[in-house]
Amino acid sequence: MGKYKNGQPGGPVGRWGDYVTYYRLGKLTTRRVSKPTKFTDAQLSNQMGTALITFLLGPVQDFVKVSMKNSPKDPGWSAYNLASSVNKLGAITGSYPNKAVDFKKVVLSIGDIPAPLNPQVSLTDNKISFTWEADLDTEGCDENDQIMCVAYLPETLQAFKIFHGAYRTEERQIVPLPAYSGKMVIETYLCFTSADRERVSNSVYTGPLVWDKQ
Amino acid sequence: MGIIVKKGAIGTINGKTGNVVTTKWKDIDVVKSAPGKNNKKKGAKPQPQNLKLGLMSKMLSKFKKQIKIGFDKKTNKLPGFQMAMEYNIEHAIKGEHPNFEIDYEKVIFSRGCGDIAWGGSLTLLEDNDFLLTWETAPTSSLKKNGKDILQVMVWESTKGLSEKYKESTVTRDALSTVRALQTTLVPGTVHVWIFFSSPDGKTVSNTRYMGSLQPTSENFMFFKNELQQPTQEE
Repeated sequence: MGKYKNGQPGGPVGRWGDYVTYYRLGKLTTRRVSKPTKFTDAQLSNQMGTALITFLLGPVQDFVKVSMKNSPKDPGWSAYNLASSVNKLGAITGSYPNKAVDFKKVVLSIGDIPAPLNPQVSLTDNKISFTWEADLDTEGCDENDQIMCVAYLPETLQAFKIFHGAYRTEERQIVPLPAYSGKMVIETYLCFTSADRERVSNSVYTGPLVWDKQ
Repeated sequence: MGIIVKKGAIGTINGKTGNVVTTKWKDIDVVKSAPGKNNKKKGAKPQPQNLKLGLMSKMLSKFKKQIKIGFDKKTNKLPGFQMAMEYNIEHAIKGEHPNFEIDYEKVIFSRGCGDIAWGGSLTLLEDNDFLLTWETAPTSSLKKNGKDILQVMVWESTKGLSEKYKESTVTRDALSTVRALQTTLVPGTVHVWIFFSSPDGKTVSNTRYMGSLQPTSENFMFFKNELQQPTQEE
């Protein structure tokens, strides 16, 4: 992306398509971008991290757009930028070429509402049941807060999402699963959103479930 | 490999001229050196990679249009077909050298984050029609993805034939469809896969293997009618 550093008459500086413009020895220079044929291990490691995060966030992109809409971020950053940055730095373990996503550390929302207290998850009769404690005495907890939850299937890159489900006081949210035969691991996450959808809580990892329906 | 930037008055030449070959790659006119002499000995055993490549390309080349929908992206460095080959050779071939086989359950024609076809079944009907059904996840909204287009891949494994590509008009919210098997695929073992693509083509779902069918010639209605028609002598 080219930027006008010295105003428009100064010309854009930076990359624009296949061309890059910069000041060299005081002169505005434009040249065609060379295509690298070899990458260092550090570059390959970074590329692998980006690829892992792209696959991770693909199925929950619409969820993150809602949950991180008002999270604190740098000017010009989108919710997706924030989600990929936070997770690339915090949710990837191992070193290249054995990098992997640590689902315990994945963050799907950032906010100042108190997170669900004592969250639990169970799977029975093809339904996922999320439970929590209302915890209305804690400052910042509102009875109109609604639950947002994600059941993430890493193997098929699918996610079942509830954007605004049960109220905080209901202390239970059911997520029905579709008919499917096979065995899969489901990673689950919970967070709260306020009634006006302007504030959220931090997301909480509630653990993996094994969906084994033959 | 060189790229032809300026085209001549009569366009570009395609084919071999001396030691160079002019061809098209990803819609770009390119010039490359002609392939060198083959130094392989006659009768030498083919390498495992060559066997896998032949086995998979024979099948996938019949589904180029579906793979273009399922794999082609502007951001990808490789063409969609090449990506599909790479993935399927790595994941969808079983057996030991030289007896490689295709693992039909693992073959994919698309890769993406769209909702896959959940549940569902594949049933052979009369006249060698087949019924495909699928479900949507209770948490997903049909208002949002109900107009996703169904793509069906049909492959007969004993003769190595595929169904001719037809532009699909069936959408996800139909939840079922009945299709007629082409006569050339019968009798045999027919494998069926499906995936969904969004109307703007930007989102695709992963491929789902729906199962296999064993259609027979006797199941065709015209064949049955012929059997039932009384002969002149009767």
